[in-house]
Amino acid sequence: MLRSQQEMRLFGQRYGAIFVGLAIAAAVLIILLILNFPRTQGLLALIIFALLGITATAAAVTAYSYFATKEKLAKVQTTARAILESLVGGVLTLDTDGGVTIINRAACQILEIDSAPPYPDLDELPEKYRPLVGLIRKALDARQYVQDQDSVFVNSRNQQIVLRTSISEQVDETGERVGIVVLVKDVSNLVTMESELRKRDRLAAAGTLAAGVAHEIRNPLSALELNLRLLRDEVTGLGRVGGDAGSDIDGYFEILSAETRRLNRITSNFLQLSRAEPLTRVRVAVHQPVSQVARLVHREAEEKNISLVLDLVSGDPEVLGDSTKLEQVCLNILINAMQAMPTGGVINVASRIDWSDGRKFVNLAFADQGVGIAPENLPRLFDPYFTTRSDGTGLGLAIADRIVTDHGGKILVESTVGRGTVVKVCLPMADEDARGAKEPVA
Amino acid sequence: MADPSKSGADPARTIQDELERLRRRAGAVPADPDTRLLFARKLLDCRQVDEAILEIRAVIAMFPNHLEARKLLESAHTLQG
Repeated sequence: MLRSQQEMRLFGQRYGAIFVGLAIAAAVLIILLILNFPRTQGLLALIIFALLGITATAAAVTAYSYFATKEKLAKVQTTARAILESLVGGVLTLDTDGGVTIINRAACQILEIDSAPPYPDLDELPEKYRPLVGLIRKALDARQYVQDQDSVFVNSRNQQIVLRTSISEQVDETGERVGIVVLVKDVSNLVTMESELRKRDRLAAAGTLAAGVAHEIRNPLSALELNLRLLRDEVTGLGRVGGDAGSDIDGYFEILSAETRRLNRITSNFLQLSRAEPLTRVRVAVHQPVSQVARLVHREAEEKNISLVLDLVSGDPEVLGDSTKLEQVCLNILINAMQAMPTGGVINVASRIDWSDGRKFVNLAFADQGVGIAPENLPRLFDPYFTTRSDGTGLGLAIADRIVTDHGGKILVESTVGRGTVVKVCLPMADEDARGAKEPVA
Repeated sequence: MADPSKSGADPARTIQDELERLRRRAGAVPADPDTRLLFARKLLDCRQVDEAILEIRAVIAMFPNHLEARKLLESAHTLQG
């Protein structure tokens, strides 16, 4: 519809131009006639002026067409640019020599490139973009194009960015290859969500399996443990063995008892993980579970030469949640922190109110001065049964993570080996009028 | 179950029997935190706080993240004064 209107306008402009040209020629002829131009030369003059008029008309039509087309092209370019700029994903085109010809705002933001030309060459891009540059080079040199290929880099704000890249051939109207089109998209959040979902699936599967296994094993295990004890009493009571043999038998019984205890402990932990009890959501002053758990562990902390320091924001922010479950979260994190500090030190528990994605969150940060966590272990920290301690169950943080996720929150961990770990629990606040809140961060 | 007061049984004796029964049960399944905490609770009811603390500490040693055990230990310490 819009196109036909434009064409009508162009049509009107053309005929307007012809009319203007003829009018000019007629005006010139009338002036000459008024000035008594010799009659003999009248016909010739008429022809000349007619030709002049036609030429002027043609020139005017061409000029009008040129400017109209130019205007149309400018509008098309503006529209294309606007579409390109409003795309969420990054788009960049490169010629066959690898020079960037077009780059949109999203691509500039994702790749942290200045949006004003001249754009950097491929070889001038920082080292962190090596995987992306590799893909582009393959597309340019070997015509190997990719679809939704993920690569990872760390941006200038030290955030890990997962870049999803698709590269296709760019051809002109004759079908000749003139370069490539690269689509890049920051899918870090998507990948995190996918990872969370997979983790939840794994937890659910582990929970279902655990419940079945634990119920089947626990009863015969208890009977085994009881009868083992009775057998030991019987053997000892009968006094049938003595000396070294008796000592050996005691040792065997000790091993059997220890192993059955271990099995029982494993099944109990299975059960703890599998208990997917529904949350009892009420308004909870979030500092209450923190203070309660600090009270519960303070003796043990003192025995281990550990000081617990609470630095809680004023205003007692509230979350909608289950107080006991939140106590479990705090306990699991604090126990982990204490176990990471064999020589003592300080555990600081701080709270603050923050904004994220337009919502108010209360952040609880548990900072220890422990041994820290190796970077390669950080991604697996919340996996059930993942532990670096020989006596650990690998369930503490997995359970804490599940509880926090059920509350609509998340747990983040930052750690430096040899310096300590900070576990941040972010929970959505119950209301929007919390006191002591900081201004939203733009 | 018969009411000990009506059957003429000595209440103190009954409590002691119950305590012994739980002690045996807990001793038979030392890795079962629920049984041991039940025994510890009974010990606290009978004001045998020191033994209760030992029992709870044993559970916590096996299950450091056992919230219920931690709370019971705190109650025991409060009773101990």
